[in-house]
Amino acid sequence: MRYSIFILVSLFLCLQNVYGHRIDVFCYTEDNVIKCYSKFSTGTPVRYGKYQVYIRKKLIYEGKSDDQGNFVYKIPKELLNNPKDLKIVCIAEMGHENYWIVKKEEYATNIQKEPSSDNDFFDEEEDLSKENKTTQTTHQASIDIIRLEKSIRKIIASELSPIKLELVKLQEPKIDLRDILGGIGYIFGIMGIIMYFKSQKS
Amino acid sequence: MHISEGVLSPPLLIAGAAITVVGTWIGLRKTRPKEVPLMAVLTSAFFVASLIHVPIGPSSVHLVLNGLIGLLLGFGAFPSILIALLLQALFFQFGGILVLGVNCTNMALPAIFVYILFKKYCESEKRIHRLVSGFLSGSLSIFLSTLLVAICLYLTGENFTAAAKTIVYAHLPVMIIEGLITAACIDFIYRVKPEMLKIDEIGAKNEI
Repeated sequence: MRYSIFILVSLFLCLQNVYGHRIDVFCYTEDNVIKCYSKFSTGTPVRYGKYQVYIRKKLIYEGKSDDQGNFVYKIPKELLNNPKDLKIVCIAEMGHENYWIVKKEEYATNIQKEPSSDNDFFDEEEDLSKENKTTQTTHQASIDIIRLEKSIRKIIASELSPIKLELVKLQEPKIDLRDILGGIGYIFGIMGIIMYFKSQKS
Repeated sequence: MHISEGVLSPPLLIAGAAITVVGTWIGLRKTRPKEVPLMAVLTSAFFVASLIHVPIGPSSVHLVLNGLIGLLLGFGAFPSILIALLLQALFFQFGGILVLGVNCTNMALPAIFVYILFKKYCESEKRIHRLVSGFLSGSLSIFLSTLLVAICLYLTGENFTAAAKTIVYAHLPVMIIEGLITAACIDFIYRVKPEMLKIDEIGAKNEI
């Protein structure tokens, strides 16, 4: 008897890391890439989970997450020119999968303001410094407002990135004691109904 | 062990639902009113045990307790597991409503199988028989459930050998843990409340 209890308690203590069964997938857009994060419901990242990107039911990209559960999808130019809703499916083997819908508006807003140049922020700084060297008088006029906007947007996006991730994580339904007790209550209620009908028959 | 919504093909979902309906109907018919409280307790245990997870590889596995449910309820395992899975799908989004029939079949059929196979050994007066049959019931029910899940995935297009290997390997620790838990529970129940094993004559009193 004592041994049985000891074995049971030991087994449960051995299972130090307890994880949820459902997979949660979160995606957000940042500078023409879609960043995804997937995990089991109580926190373990889905390591090397398979990711599939669909437009309607057509598979357009397949990849794997890293060991932290992160996956990055670079939106191709064709899609940037002709944005569509994307369904991003995460598959973690053994029939576990979930998906996240990325609306076209989420990345379409950035494209309209996209400058023709592909230079990044640091190139722009170099360009600006070159312009400073060539002429001081034309400095104010040479500032490309669109490029400046792009640079500011890039900085803000990188600053907001962790906040965005936290916000999408907040949307995740969590298992709490109230749900568990509620479930047990329902079970006893249903069994009560079964017992009622059984006793009526007998 | 819960297959998610949207993974399986419609014919498989219909077949699973049909087996579950028939199994539940038989289970409810065979259950006597005095067994219903036991069914409630075991359903609650199943409902909560599935929340205890062990991370393995890219996925995670959890306790199922279908072997124990099978030994104690017999055909009553079907309604018991169905109710627990329905509530898990509604409360925790484990599995899903459409895939409920398949998930229930995958877990309840092995439970009934071990009931038919090991029930009489669990009622044995010899402790070693109870422990061994309890362990085998717990392990075998998980093994058979994993095989059924692999077959379902195979019928949906996955390579059977790859799917079966992944699932069986991932559940090896659970098979051992469940075997130990089932053996301990059966032995404990035999000593403390043998009528739960449907033993009318209490011959175990001397062992306490």
